Amino acid sequence: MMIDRPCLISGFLIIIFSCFTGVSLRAQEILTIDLAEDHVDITTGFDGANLVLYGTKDRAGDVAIVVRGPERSITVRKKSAVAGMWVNREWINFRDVPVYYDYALSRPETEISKSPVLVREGIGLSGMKFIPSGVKDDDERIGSFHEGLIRNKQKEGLFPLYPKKIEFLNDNFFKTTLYVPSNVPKGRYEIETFLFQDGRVVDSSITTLKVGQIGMSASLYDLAYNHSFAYGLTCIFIAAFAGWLINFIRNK
Amino acid sequence: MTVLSKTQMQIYLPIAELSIAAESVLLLGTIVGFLSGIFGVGGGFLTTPFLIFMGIPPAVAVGTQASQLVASGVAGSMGHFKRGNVDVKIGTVMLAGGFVGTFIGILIFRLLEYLGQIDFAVSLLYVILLGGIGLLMIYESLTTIVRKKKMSAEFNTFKISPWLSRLPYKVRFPHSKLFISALVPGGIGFVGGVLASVLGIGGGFLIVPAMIYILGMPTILAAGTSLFQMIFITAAATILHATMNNTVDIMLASLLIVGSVIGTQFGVVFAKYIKPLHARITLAILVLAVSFRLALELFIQPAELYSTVVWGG
Repeated sequence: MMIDRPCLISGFLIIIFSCFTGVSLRAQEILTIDLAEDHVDITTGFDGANLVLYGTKDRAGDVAIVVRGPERSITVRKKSAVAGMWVNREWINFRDVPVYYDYALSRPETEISKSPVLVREGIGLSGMKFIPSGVKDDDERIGSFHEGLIRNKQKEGLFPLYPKKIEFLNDNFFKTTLYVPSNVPKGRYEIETFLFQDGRVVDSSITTLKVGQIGMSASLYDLAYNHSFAYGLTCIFIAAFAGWLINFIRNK
Repeated sequence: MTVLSKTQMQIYLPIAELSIAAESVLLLGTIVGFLSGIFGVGGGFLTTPFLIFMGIPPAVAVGTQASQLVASGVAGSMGHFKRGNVDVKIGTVMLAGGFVGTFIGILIFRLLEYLGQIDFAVSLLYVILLGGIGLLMIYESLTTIVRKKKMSAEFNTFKISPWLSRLPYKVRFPHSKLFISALVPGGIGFVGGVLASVLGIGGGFLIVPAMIYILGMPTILAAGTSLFQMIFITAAATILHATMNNTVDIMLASLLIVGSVIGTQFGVVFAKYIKPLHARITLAILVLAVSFRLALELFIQPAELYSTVVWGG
């Protein structure tokens, strides 16, 4: 009984605290968003997941939601024919490319705001300008590699083909569902929500999402990267045992 | 996630970092096991290209396949070992060269990957090797049919070419009844090691003829010894891929292995009902088909000329 008491008290405090913050948030914030789950767990059975996002706003206006994965540098290579064979011949490196990007809008882009505003806030694919690292290049060449990068990302399902829709459950309560495919890269994702009025941003809010392997999948990954020798040996032992088993079956 | 009711069982590969239909990998393992049950080949030449066709990154396909080959090597050489068909001494000399080859192969692999040429190099090498072997097998089978000659299991023992016999470090190999320079089996082992780490193949189809024609080993000893040294070469390749490249996917390897254990069982039974000549022609056609498929990708203009690589993680 003694053990239960601190738990009870802390539980009670949490309830009070959450009520309090919940109320205070609603009182002060123009825009509030929340994820149905603030993490994507990659388990052994993982085959992509839906990200469900809820939000409220206290005034009229358009909403845009952007989900951005961690940034990495990416090499884009281009094939050309050498002696009839298609070989990677040219390349350009781009810095700070998000490994995942998706966005949702309450209305079509052009109706929400002017293009420069959307580009500045990083909303939509058309405004994406990744910076090539290293030597200077002519814009046309960079442009075609840039398009190639976006096409590749779209094919992998890591960049969107078109914006997702934000559904309104009533005037101020909205919801959207984004999809992350099974090849989604791990890391901390940022979800930024914007409220537009007359084409201007009146409020924005950021929340984060953790994408990571858990359970057996995570243990194997950890073993492979942090104890790679033991991991390699394990693979060999499994294979050697299977070899013995195959031989046993053959002789039976 | 459960909304889409799946007819397939998707499994997430922790190292490849994507999910794949478990059945298709199992099926691939079963088919390869079936073939190795019939023909006694490792089947690495089929697994690696098919894994790449299925969307597994080439680096992971090659690294994982190396561990899979350990199973083939153990399974294949145990019987040979019992019957005394393994020349351990010559096998050990081959291993010395093989380890060097494996290590250099891993470095070549990394360099090609860095340069963005690994897919091209792997495909091209497969086209050349598989195409060459396939054509040779077809030619051999056809001449057998034309001459109505019985297929001889034993190759002729060729005389060692003069310049090879002039090489230093001559060693006596009593089991194979050879007195040759250790550099020759070492060199053959070296080539095997490079192939294992760059292509994810055991290289038996290249090593065995080399041992017969260049070293002058008896066929049965060449096959047994080649499999024996392959265990250690592919084990070394697995360790190196796992520690240097992190490209061995244990989940993928396990699925392939389970498939091959099942497939081998069927293959061994089926082998009793198939004529060796027919088996050989079938294998040759299969090898040529894989080679042709890879060649098409090299020569036909791809729909997408651009490709991307993400660095760091």
